[in-house]
Amino acid sequence: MSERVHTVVPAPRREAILSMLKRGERVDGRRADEYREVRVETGVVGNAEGSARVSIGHTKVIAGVKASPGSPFPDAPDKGIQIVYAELIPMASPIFEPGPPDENDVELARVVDRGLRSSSTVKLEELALVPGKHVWRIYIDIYPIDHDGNLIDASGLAAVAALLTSKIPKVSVSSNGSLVMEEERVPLPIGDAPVFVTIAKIGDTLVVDPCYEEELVMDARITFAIDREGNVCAIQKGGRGSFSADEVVKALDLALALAPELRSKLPPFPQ
Amino acid sequence: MPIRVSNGQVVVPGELVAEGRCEVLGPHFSSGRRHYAKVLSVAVVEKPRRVRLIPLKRSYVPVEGDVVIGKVVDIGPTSWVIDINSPYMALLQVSEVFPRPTTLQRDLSKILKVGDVVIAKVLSFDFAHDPLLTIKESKLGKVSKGLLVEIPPSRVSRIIGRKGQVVNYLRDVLGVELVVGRNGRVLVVGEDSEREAVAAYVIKRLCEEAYVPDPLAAAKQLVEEALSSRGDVSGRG
Amino acid sequence: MGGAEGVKLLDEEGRRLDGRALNELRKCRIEAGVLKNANGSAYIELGRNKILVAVYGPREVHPRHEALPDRMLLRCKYSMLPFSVPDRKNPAPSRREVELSKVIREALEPAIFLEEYPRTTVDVYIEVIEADGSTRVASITAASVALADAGIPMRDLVAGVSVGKIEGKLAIDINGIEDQYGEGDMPIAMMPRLGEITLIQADGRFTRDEVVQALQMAREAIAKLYEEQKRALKEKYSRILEEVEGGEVVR
Repeated sequence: MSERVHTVVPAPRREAILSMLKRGERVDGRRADEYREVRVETGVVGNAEGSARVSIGHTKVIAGVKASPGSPFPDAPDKGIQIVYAELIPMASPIFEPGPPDENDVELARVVDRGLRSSSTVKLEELALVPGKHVWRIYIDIYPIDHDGNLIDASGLAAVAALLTSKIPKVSVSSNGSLVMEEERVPLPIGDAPVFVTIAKIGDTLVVDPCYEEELVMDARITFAIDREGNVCAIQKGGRGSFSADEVVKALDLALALAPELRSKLPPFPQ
Repeated sequence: MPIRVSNGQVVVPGELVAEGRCEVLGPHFSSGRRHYAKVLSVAVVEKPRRVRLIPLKRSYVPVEGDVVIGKVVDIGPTSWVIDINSPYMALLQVSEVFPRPTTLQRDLSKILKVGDVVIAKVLSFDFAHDPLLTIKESKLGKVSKGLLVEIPPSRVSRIIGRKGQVVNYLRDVLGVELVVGRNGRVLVVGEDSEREAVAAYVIKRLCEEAYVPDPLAAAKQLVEEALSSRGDVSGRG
Repeated sequence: MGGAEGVKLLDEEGRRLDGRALNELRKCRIEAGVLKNANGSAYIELGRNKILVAVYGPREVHPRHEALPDRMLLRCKYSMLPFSVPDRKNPAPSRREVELSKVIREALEPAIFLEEYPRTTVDVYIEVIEADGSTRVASITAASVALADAGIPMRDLVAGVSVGKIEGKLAIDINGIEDQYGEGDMPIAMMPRLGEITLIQADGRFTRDEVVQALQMAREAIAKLYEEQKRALKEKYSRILEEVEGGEVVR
């Protein structure tokens, strides 16, 4: 119930947002296809293999990468394991409640996971230590710390930035088959990297990078993960509304147009 | 041809029923000049430009003034919670039970207990608040005898029939009294328990079918069948 | 990935492993009203997929604080039975099932007049009895039939299909093997009459033009599924009507 205090938009405000959009104006003065200011900082957590803090406007997300040797999955004995976890902690918004992850946490983690997997961001096939026995497990943990909308894009950016700057110990295998961690650290093997672009539909208008207030009044959203070559490597629609086929394509074109700018905020690929 | 369905056709939600100037009765919605079915229904073309949609399934939504048959499921400090076979639980307040103000009884279960059945009238309902019931009028109150038959609420009008024909027919031919709750519950009360059972059986059977064009004729046929094989009645349902 | 794994998904004539053409749906059969206790229900067989859907409601919301003052609450639970897949699935809800329950609900909501029964809930229970690829979209196709069967007010049905990418080509309605060894999966659900997209997801890699083409292929397949949905609902109730109108009341 207390959540409703924060999620119910006053009717006059809703009307104002909708009529402004008809004139091509947004609540924070942006154009429909204008992204908020994006900042990416990496190496923010010394104990993590890689980490990043990302802000999109007032939205802030922190992501960390941890790696540890473990057993492979039986159906992929020669591949490392990637585990993405996201938690919408109460710190980030009055609408998040303490407790076990719900569908929103799970959706966020899984969308980011799909984008990373589809573009082979982490080359899992290069992360076997002793094939069939020991592989690297790469944990990517995502924590929004201030929620002003568009957590998917911010989380995706933070996860990718953290992975691009991750360094894991070099491992050798001793004669008796046990693993030896060396002092030297090497970058994670990286394939491609996606950027996530979310478009919200409010009334008949498509806007990129919705802020929180826009998310409250939107009908639906659609997210595209775009790889380096401009391929789509994940899509996710959310929300109670629908899109026409034309709107999906229009949203995709907006995403493709914005992807290079977002990509330019990422740290360079490891050599 | 403004009407896009044939008589007796089953229509699914979102299916085009009529276009342009025509009268569409029953649950539908319109977009411009086009009229669509809103729930799974049977279309009955009543006139060249009038089509009625009869829902095949529908939950009972209380309407002020409806007579309903309810079951006591819980007891609060000053009211009973009554299940009226609806998404909305009804309340029967103490003040709607006694004709005059009485000294408040501590134990409401001495008046109506969980499991008791009441014939009641809907006093008010507006979606924002649970429906309120009254039993303060004549013919309302606690039910002490008879058979309770549950039917889909969308079939209630069939049991009543045009101008009460079906109810009157069953009353006359079987010598039973019927109370038809709008919420899909029918109370059958008669002297002869076997005839009560026949009435209950006929009502059940009438409601099994999605749509009956002539309920009275169907009722007559079912009664005749049932009476001609008396003693075998219960084995046929 | 297909080549790397060494599994050939298309033969020389461009036919798929089960003999289908790229734009060909598997055999699909839907039945409406298959359960006694549920207010509405449906069963779908799509190829080897077997899925049951039950709809309860509109009914009182428990816990009560979840009730919405201005509309009906739609709740949806998608689960795979432990024996539905080759290796037994742990019956506890997986993260995949949690996500799919959400996106399936959001695929159905646009079609429902949620404002008709405020403060109530409609619960949709989806049980995958046997799985062979594309279960989320088959679940949506069946769930909208079950919702209609329950008498829920709707502006349209919803039907879904997946568009996969196998050996570089787009293929409709991919099965389990094609999902496992193919290069991508794009499940799409639409309101067939309105052509509005209520679910779209993707993994794998698709170019912009492939996305455009996939939307078109999905629309055509969904039109066919819509016919089967209507047939299932109409047949269930028309049969009864004919029997009555024939003057005979048949059990």
